[in-house]
Amino acid sequence: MRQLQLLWQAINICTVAPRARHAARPHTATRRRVTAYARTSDQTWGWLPGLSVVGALGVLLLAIAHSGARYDAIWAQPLYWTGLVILIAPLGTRLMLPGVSRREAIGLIIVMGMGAYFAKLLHSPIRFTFFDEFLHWRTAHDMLISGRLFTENSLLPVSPLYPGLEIAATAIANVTGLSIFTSGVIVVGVARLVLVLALYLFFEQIAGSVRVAGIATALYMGNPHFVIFDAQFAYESLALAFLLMILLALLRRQRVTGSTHLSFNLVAVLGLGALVATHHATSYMTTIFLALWGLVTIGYNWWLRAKEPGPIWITLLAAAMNAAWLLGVSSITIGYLAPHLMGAVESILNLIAGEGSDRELFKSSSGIPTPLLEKLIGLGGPGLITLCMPFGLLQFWLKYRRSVIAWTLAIGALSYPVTLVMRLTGGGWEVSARSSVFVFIPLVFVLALALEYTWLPRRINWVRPVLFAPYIAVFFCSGIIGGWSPWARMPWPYMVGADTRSIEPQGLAAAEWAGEYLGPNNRVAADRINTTLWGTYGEQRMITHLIDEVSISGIFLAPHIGPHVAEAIREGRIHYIVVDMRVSQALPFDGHYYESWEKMVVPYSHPISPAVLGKFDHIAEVNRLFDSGDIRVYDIGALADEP
Amino acid sequence: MSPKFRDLVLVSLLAPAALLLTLFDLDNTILRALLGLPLVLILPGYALTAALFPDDTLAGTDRVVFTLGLSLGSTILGGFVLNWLPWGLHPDSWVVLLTFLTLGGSIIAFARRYLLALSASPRTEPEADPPMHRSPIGLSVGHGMLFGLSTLVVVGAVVLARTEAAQHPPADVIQLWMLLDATADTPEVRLGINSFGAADGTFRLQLQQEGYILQEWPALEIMPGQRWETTVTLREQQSGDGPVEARLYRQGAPREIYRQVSLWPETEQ
Repeated sequence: MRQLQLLWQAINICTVAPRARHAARPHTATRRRVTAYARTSDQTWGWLPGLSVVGALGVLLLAIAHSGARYDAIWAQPLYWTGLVILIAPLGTRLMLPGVSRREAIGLIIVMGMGAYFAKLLHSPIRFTFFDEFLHWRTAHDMLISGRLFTENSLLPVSPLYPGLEIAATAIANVTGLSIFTSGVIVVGVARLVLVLALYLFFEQIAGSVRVAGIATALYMGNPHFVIFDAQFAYESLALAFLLMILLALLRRQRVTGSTHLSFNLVAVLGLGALVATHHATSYMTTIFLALWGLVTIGYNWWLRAKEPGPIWITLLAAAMNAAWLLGVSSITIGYLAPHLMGAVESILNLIAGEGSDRELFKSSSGIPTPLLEKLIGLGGPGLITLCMPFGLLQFWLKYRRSVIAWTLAIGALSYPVTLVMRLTGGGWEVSARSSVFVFIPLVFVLALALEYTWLPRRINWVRPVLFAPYIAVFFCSGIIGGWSPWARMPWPYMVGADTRSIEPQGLAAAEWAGEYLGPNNRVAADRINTTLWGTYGEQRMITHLIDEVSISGIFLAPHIGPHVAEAIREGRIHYIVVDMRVSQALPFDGHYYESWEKMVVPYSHPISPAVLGKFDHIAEVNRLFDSGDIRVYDIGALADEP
Repeated sequence: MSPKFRDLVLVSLLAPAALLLTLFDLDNTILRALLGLPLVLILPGYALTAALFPDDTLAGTDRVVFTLGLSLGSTILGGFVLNWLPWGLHPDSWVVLLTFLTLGGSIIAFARRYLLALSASPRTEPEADPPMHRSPIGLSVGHGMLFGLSTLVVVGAVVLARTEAAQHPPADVIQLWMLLDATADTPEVRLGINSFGAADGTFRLQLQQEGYILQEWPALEIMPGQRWETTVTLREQQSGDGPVEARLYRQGAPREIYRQVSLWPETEQ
């Protein structure tokens, strides 16, 4: 073993390039290289003022595109992509040019990150319209009304058990008098700013290069959830900011001692406390990453007889805090996450066993295929990653293999191919998509090394960086294509069972009527869309399989009210039923009308019959209280023995 | 006053100002937002960062990250403290907590900076200034104009998006509803028509039971945004055991039921 270690050291001496020896000690290397930039242009604004105007024009085009989509204009979609490319490609290309100052690089990634946030904000600029946002809004609303935490939320029972986002949003609402929507938009916007800045600083310290940090941060914006999913009013959007703040604090503390070292530890612990109370998956992934970092440190120190500091105690603390929160506060999280993880494992095992994939790429739940160009661009992102990854890993080996954190990132990047395989399976797709925000952190570092050291010039040379403008554009657009369905990216007109596309004035008005005329917290059953509207705008206690274990689909899809339906109504103590007749007009775009299991059991080939939906009209003692054309509300309290 | 402490003085003044604004219940939305947003998003984190890093360890960007991150983090953890206390999470309790957090952090920061200044030799003292005091912004008029133009374009984009989202799809909805008021001495039904957006028209409304018309409103003119409501006592007019039905007809289509609701008088709601 000792011989092996000596061989390793000999290889190091022979193969690590003189320039890279600086990187072998990443912290000193950081100082030197950043200082080198600082000497020339650290304080200059460079092209940032002009490029910020370009980015703003991209945002304006996005606003016009979204407005056009509301009228179903055919030019809306091309304009949307044009706006995104104008927002990202020139700024990303500038980051690849030599001579970008640190100030300029930071400014560029702020414009890109916040511009991408506007891409989602302009989609729904006056109210929440995304499914997950409604779930968290209900928790925030209850918190604002009651002044207490841990209230019940039947739409998403785990949401009140991770109330970090809602606490921050309602704190603003309480102090300023702003609405939950405005407060939520501000909180998520601030979290986005912290995320991109902390990510940049994290990479900058590891790589010791402004350009690598800038490119890596820009590439991170190409992860499938960056533009829309993680810009929602949902717990992950805030938790990611804490994750990066913790990693940055732990990295920064390594180059200081004494009370400053302790201060960084306190920042990490405070961030960890907030993170654990904000989002389950992000806090688990943080613990996993810290554990990997710790293990790599132990292995590195053992192998080289070095004394690199590692995040051992904070990993143990993170694990202990997560375990305590899970067991003491949010034990239902296990039941919430387990089916997704088990489904992913099962799908992968089936794939390995040669049973084939149960998912067709680029096809929505309703069977609508993706346009060819989108397919090509969608495949372009993973293709470019796969192309660059070996070069990035090679550059890591040549220049950064004496950095423990770089080792951690390189090993973490290897998980990308696994997530790519998971995308081929029905059960694994969601886990793969959800994990992309974490996998991309190490991945983009490796990709940035490939670009910086293999492709991009050291001196002023415009050709190659400009050739990379399409690379950045394809990478970014591929993320959006992979992360969000084509029909949901823009506010097109109403569609049946299509989440954000199904949020429209008639449904909103019906829900508000319920809140005003029926009073809050009546037990109500409805389709997926009206469940979110009535659970939020209507302030009703919606019946869901998650918390009530009653089959809502069975009640609505049964041709008549038989004993099983009557029993379900009684078990759920359902007082009101909301029937949206529009579900009889088209197949659901999201694959189901009422509950997600429908798409696995009921192969819809035609919409639900209006007669099936109208069955409540013919029952004695069932009152039809409300009619707004498409939406009807029935009082079925007599069937449920509910007064 | 030494420039070393100027930022902390400002922070220590802003937080109590927000506190007073809330405690005296001044109903000025803009002022509340101007003082309230920093109180949640900036001041606690700034004071904590200053207390934790009184020297020049942190560069400007790091300070921004930790200021915002610690503000959000301390607000979240503070929310649990308020939940545990009898006052709960309400405007007054929030501003008191955040103000104390800010002032507490500022006092520690004052003390640590003061001690640092005392312990530093005169030759090294200037080095202890936080980098933010030393870094010139270096913004020319041209740069400022370009940044201003960017801001204007983005604000314009948001205004455009908000205006369009408020208008499309149009919120033109007519609702018909009927509720039983069982709390009255005699059973009554409340009957109403709500208009949303630009929806309007002239309607005929019939209240009937088993084919018998109990009451009719032959020409109800509903204006955009109007709410029409009436109460009908059932006992005097009830003529059977079937449900009471309300049918709404549009003036242009007198035979086609436009909206319909029904109620079994015996059923309790």
